[in-house]
Amino acid sequence: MPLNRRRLRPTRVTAMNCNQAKYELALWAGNDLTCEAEAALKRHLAGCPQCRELWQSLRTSQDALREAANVGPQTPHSSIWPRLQSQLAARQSVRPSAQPAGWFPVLAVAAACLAVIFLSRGTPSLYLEPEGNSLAQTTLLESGSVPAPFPTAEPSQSLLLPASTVGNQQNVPVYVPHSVLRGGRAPVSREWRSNLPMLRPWEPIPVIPVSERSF
Amino acid sequence: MIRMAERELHPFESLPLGGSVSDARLVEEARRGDQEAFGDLVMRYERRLISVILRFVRDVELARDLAQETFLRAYERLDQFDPSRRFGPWLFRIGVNLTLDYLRKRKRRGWAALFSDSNLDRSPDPAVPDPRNALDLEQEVRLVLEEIPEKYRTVLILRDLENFSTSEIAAIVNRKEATIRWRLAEARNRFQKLWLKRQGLLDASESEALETDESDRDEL
Repeated sequence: MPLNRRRLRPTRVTAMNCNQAKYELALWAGNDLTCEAEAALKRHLAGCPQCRELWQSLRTSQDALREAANVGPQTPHSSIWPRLQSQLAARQSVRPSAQPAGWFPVLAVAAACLAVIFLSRGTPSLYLEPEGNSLAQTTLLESGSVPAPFPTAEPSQSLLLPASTVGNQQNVPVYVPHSVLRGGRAPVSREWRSNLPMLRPWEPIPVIPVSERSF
Repeated sequence: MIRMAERELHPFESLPLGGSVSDARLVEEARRGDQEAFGDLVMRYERRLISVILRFVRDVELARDLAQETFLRAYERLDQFDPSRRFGPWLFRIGVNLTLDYLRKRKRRGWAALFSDSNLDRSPDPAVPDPRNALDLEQEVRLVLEEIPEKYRTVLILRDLENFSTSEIAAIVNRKEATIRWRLAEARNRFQKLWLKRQGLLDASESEALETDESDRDEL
């Protein structure tokens, strides 16, 4: 209860403390203080010998800065424009040939990224489950055996997992014809890969290239 | 106020008088490939820009090179410039950043110690009766400024040596004006302590307190 009472007690308007005065004295020394703040500061100074001493000291150091400002650096009289103009002209003459060279690597990288994205998305599965051979009925195929022929799917058809990968706990290879292999890997769609939980996303699906006739 | 009257107007304030072309117009023409328009901008700002850079690097030829590089970059980035804003702060932001980058690289490579400009003596201007005292004081100020962390030193130089307003500095260093005011106050307080120390006016206990305070706090 005493704590609550303390919190509810109205705050008193306190006089400026020395820390605040120190900040404002520094601004006042360079004429950067508002009139209202200046009046409050003067009231504080009237009753604070320490701050009066600081004020005197600040005035001395500001005088030194003021004198240094008046001496100023000796700036050269000649203009830099003639030299700058020739530099600008030189740059502009180089620009037409330099620009494509500057952009070429960026464009090449962008094209490569697009190609990777396109390829990684894969193509729709080319194979459909053969009739009468539902996924539920399919058992683990032996490695190296050629699965029953799968009819080729149109890209617009729904995606189904080839029988050879169902229950593929031991990375049984997928049989893929040469014609659809890309860089030695099967083009795998995202959906297809999601059915292979044993494979990490970056791992290639093991494939055995076979001839079209095998199907 | 007297101080303001003593200084010459800086380019942000020296808006073109009747008949001359505004910055915005010149920028627009330069964007369309008119190099002469860009040349007008260069001639309008070069002295001021070199003067600001010289506050940081001291060597006149180096300052000219940095100014030239600043204009080159500005020209190449004209299409990124927002025409609703002022050209001056945008240009000075490029220049100040370029200069600070240059100094950071030089410091990293350790060249600062080998090729320090601190030993460069500027030849006195014969037009000034006896500039030695003023030059000495300016060099003293420089040495003290070098002891102040970069973010405070930059604001202090732009405000107290180059007379930019706090709002202009905010635009140049790309920070809020409140941040600039805080940094300015901190910078002046640090300068005051270091100045006292350099003048031998600080007693031993205050010197120790100052040294412990030197660690750069990263407020705001």
